[in-house]
Amino acid sequence: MADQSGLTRRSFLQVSATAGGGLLAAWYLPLLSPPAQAAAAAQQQAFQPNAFVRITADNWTTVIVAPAELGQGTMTAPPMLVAEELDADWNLVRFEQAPPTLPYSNPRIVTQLTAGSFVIVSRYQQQREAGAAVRDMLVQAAARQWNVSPATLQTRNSTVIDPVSGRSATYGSLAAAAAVLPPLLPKLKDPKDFTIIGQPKARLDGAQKANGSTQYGIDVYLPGMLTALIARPPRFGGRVVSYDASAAMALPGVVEVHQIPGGVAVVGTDFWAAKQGRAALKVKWDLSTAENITSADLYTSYGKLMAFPGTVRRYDGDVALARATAAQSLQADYSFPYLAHAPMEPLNVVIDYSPGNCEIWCGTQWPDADRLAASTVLGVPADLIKFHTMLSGGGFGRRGSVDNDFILDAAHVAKAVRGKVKVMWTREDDITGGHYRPAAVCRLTATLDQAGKLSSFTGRVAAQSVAYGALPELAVKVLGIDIRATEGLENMPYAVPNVEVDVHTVTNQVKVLWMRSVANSFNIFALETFVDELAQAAGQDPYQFRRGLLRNNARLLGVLDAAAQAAGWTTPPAAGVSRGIAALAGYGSYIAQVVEASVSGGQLGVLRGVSAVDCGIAVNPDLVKAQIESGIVFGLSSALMGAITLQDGVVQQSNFHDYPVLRMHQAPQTETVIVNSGESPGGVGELGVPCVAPALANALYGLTGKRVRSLPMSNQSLSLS
Amino acid sequence: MDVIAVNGTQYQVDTSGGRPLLWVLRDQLHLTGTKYGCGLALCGACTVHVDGQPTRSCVFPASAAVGHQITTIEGIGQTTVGQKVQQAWAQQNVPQCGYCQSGQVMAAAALLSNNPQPSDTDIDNAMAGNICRCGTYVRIRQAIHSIAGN
Repeated sequence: MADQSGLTRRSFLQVSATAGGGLLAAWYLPLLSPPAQAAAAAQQQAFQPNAFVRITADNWTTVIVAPAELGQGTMTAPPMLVAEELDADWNLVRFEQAPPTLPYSNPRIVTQLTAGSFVIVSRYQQQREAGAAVRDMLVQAAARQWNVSPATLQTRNSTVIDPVSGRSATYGSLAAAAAVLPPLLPKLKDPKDFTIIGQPKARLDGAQKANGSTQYGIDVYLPGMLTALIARPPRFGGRVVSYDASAAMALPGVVEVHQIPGGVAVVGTDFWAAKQGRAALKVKWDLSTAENITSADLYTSYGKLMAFPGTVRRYDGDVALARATAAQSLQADYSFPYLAHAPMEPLNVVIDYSPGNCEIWCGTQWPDADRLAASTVLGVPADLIKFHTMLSGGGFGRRGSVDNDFILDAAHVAKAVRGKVKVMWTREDDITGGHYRPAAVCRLTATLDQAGKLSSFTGRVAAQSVAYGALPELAVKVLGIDIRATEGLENMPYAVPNVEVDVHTVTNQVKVLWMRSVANSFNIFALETFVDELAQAAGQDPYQFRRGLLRNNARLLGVLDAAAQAAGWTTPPAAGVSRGIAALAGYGSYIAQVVEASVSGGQLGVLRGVSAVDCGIAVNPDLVKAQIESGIVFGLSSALMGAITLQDGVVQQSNFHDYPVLRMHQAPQTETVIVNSGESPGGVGELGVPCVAPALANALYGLTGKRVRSLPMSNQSLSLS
Repeated sequence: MDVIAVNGTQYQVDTSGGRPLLWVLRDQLHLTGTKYGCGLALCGACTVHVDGQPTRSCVFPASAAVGHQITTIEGIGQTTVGQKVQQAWAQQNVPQCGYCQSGQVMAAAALLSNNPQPSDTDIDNAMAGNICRCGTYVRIRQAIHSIAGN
């Protein structure tokens, strides 16, 4: 079994040791944050041999989940990994969100960032080992009680069984005895023996999310808590010169106004008071050095860069030679707008900065970084801040802010208020607040030789970097989060002998951030629509053309074939309907998607989205399907209607009326086929996003005879019916 | 102070200043299942029932709720239809982040109360005002059909 966590089995034991409980709990507990300590104290009867598993006398197993839940099923899949190796009764498994402490760091990047589709990739081995170690201790405890060899005992449904004598004992009854035993290095199951992994288990948080009882960050109410909204500059880079709070303070419920580095905070007794107060606030802004870009000009300036070489990311063979001997040359330029993540729960942070206490509640993808950022403002050491990572109402990258913007703003407000305050973002604050998917321009070129074979490929991208600029370059490299603007092109999967990919990293003051599928969200659109143009130039079917270029990529070929088969690619579609196909290898997984669409009088109908996915072992196939369904809707929202534009530096959109996203009647029928390669798990959170738009554009070509070279499609007189 | 009836209980609340019902439910009654998403009746996350009719509480003045029966996500499970919707949502693994689902459940419950066998078009019409950024639409449709026995 490949070690997907990046930890050796030896290093797991070391982590276990520093994180270990029972007798080991003595070492473990000091690492817990104060609120978790309180929880642990309340659970004195509990057996918590490592950071991830707690078994109580009532025979329930609590899995302490380190990554953040943003909708992707984090509170279900990692507990399944633990329960599998523990042989826990799945009906007696519950979840708890971990605090932002070291044992819960992502083992690959040593910080608790939830991003990059890597929850399962990075935790698959670790969580199974955590479960197996605890099972082993429970078996040893039973063996001692019964005076038999541990090797003769079996485990099933949170029970240790002695098949010889017929005796059995629940894990809960063995917990106290097991707690004093040392964890050994247990053997993990052969995947053929899995009974939980691979099953379409219902989400552990499904019922609570259907009855409204889930508490998100925005739902935290503390006695005496105030609510703050921040007036921010109308253009990125603006600064407060002065403000007049008299009209705001005259309104009922407005209690304080404070200038902070990011703007001016209006503090009220509730949201409505703060909102009225902010509307009445008068701020004089210094915009002399603020961003003044206009989107159309941005595309022009990026487009000019396409004529010049950028920083080389990939250089194979000799493109110039291939060009000199080519039978055909193709070139296409693509442009992509800024996009807002627009998670349904607007950003919010609750801070209790009362004398003698410092406590934060926040739905975030990066709790340890956010806590550290808050500590620098509040002057409280990070490990003395009680930080509650809340379930998030969506994230898509926005809640993993590289400049910690929302937590820093909130910390400044709390420092001024010196009490309990909820710092809220309205939807307008969210849409205009930057941290966008970068705008980009791509130029792709390719040549076909005399035989119609693809002989060279080049890709050039101009975009802002989501990581550089916000973080020191060294940190970006150490953390492994250098999400490159050429992602998707530099690692493009097609067999071509001569390849060049380069990038122009552009800077301006519009804040950018990773958004679900990051640069794949634009580069795969360009690549996969361009490949269709190449297929046409070569006189080949787009599916067969891709097959010919993927002979050495069995897994991508596998999903391509599976998607074509499931969609009935070789059977002509109904009259007026067209199909398009696209494929992607990414996140340790493989996907191909076929989209069926129709156009009638400028009205576009996206009818059907068929996906074939090879994500290795699908820990929970239903959650995998849910993520692909989600990715399709997300990708279509961006491609069809998503655009943040600027005019003289001012963002032109503000809410869902002018930044629309897909609605129910616009969502296609979806079918997802899981191709089980039996390989180690890959990621799926972003996997469904990049291909759906190029597959749709390729389908549209069959209807309109026009290639889509800029997004969103709503700019090309195609609106969704 | 005004008195409003929420889930069968009378509450004294402050409806002054044009406060929308949403913020009375959340900030005063701490009935947090009803969500803020847009503030302009564009996303449906704040959907409650006013005398059984699905209503966007983010733009519905709390003062206008006086004398009417308000039902929120916290109360809808007391009705047969609401209970069925919530069960189907959990069984079909509908929620992802879950934030919009209170509004989706309220919209679906209102639809099924009036129309126990909705067609796809009926579902489209009833649910068009509720945005789900996680894209759970396919499952919402399946779940509604499963309740209708279609």
